[in-house]
Amino acid sequence: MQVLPSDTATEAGSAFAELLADLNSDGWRADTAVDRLANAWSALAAGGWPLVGEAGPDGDAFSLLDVCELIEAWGGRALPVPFVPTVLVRRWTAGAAMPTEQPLSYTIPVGEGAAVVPYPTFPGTRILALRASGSTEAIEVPEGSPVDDFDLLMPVAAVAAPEITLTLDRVVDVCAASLAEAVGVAATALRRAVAHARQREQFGRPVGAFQAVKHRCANMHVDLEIARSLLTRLAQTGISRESRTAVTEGFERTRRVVEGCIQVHGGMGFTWETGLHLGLRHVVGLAALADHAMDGWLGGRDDVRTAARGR
Amino acid sequence: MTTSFGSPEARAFRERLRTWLAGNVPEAWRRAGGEDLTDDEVVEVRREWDRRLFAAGYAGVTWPVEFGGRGFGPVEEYVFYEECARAGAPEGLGRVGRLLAGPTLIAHGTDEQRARYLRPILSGEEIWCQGFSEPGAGSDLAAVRTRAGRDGAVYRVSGQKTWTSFAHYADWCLLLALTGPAELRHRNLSMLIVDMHAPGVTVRPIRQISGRSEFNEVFFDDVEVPVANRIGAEDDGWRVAMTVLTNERGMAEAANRYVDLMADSRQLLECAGHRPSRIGGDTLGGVEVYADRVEALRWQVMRAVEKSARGGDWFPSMAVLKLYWSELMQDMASAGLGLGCAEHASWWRRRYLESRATTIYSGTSEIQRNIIAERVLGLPK
Ligand SMILES: Cc1cc2nc3c(=O)[nH]c(=O)nc-3n(C[C@H](O)[C@H](O)[C@H](O)COP(=O)(O)OP(=O)(O)OC[C@H]3O[C@@H](n4cnc5c(N)ncnc54)[C@H](O)[C@@H]3O)c2cc1C
Repeated sequence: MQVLPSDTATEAGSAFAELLADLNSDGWRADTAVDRLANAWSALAAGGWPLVGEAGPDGDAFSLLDVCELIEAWGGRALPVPFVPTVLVRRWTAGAAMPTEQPLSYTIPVGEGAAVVPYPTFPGTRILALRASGSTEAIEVPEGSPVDDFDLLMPVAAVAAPEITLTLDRVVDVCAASLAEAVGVAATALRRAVAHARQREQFGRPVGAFQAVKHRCANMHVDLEIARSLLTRLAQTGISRESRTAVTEGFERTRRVVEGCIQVHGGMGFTWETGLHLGLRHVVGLAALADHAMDGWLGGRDDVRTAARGR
Repeated sequence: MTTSFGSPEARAFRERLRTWLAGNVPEAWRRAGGEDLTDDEVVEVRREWDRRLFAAGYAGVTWPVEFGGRGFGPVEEYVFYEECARAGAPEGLGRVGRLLAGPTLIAHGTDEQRARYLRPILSGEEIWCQGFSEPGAGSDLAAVRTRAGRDGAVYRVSGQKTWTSFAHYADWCLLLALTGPAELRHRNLSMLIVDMHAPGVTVRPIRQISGRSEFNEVFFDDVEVPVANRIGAEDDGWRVAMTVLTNERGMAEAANRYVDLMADSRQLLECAGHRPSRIGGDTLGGVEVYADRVEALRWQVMRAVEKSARGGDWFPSMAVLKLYWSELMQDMASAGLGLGCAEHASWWRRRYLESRATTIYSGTSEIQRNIIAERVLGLPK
């Protein structure tokens, strides 16, 4: 059983992280001009990065854990472009002869003929409704549909999409990819917290010299590590009714890391300008996306409620 | 002044106040806390609230009678804040004046200063802001670097303050500034009254992580402040600031938070009823414990208040209260977020984002724990 990403994936992850650092030097960015985002997308496509989840010409593909390694790098410097959905859809449809630069997204059923779609408004995105029959069909997000942009790095829209489904292996993919991205966000948050604690002085010393701050950062490190292990388990063993809580816990740990990063920044952390809220919103948004996927698979809200009560 | 919540005086005070609040809290505010009003309407409601408090004699509940107050003690003070919060009363713009500037002037001001400034604070005619924190002086407030250089009968003030609430409405700023040499820690600051309409004062809003702007940065560029506007002795501003910051500070906040948290715990139960799936199990997933935790806050405040009313020291209670409610608020907001109740999702998300500040302002949680460890328990520094 694979416990660590392959060497190839680790190397690819580092190379990807370097590209992302060039594209987006300041951590996460949401307030990026449309043409900048379009350029970023072109650079990703030119490097072939949207194809990382597909099988190569000789049939060998990255494992889910390997793909997660790349998605984690993405989470560290995420931009509001549908990189992760594109990777997933291409993995599911083996590319289906779509050009590398085609941005893609998909539908997560939330019951009553409705679906949640990540990145619904990124220019040129093809949204595939994943039908219960196994077929896929491109759908449009109707003009003027309300977009939930609480998560500024991953807006979502609710659309009408009857007869769609998400099979269990796809639910696992969505949850693992989302958790990997959240782990990437948390890793950046920890890095930023440590950098700030080393440099910010109060009482004549760096605040990182105070044990309270040290211990907080140490706890953040533990949370990040355990979240990675929960991700590894998820990518390797999938989800069952019983292990659903482990997925939730993984997201909670990544969220705690970002919360800790804000606390270490003091008042600065609470400003829009510092931008840590982008990471915080993103881990919340990613957790919600995974929750939708798991809810849908468990059979919708009412069933879940009955199941939960019946225990 | 009474020393017990159960006394006939305290009960009578509560009864009268309730009746008054029932007839005076604006209906539009009570319903939605001003959510559906425009910014201008909100400001008008808050100004009008200052005027109503004054007209009814509730503006300076704890101020001495000789300065236009009611001379009440901490018990009535707490009852006042709790009842106002329960009634959904607005927060007046005069808050910093009533809670901070007024008491500072009463404790350290000259007779002329008291005669000039106290009444307009009570009546709500003049609004104050607090100019303490700076970008470089947060937890370490004594590191204030806004400079007030003596130039004959005036100080020339230059520097930057941050997180200054009410600055864009304020007529006056209670400013902590550096008058002595930087090395003389705690003996180099002075407390000044600065005219916010004076040339050289610039106010710029800070955008918070929720997207709202309720605080400001204030820039002072060679602003002239008469020496007569100094409160207390030169270079004695740290002591002046400390009386303000320890003097029953945090009681109003704890009372408000208690009421907010009560509403949150009810909301949690309602949302958990809608969607128990996220938390699993056959119960409400544990959110029912929050009602008890919130009630514990109320009893904790009441114990602290009665102790203080009987002449005890308020200081050791302050950090306990602040830590308890701020962390409880964050826990409850996280719980609300985790319930995934579709109907209230955006409400919990905003609550969650805004609650991130509670462990930062008015002394971070780390600083509160240092205070408890070192100054309450006596552990070595
Ligand atoms: C929403 C909001 C409202 C505010 N309102 C006001 C206001 O009305 N008036 C006002 O004057 N100020 C206000 N502030 C400022 C607030 O008081 C400061 O942000 C706070 O004191 C922390 O200072 P800082 O931001 O500089 O963080 P820093 O002091 O730089 O702290 C950074 C981190 O280091 C930790 N740390 C610092 N020193 C120590 C230590 N000795 N031991 C252990 N850990 C330590 C902190 O806990 C924090 O985690 C407000 C801030 C916010 C966010």
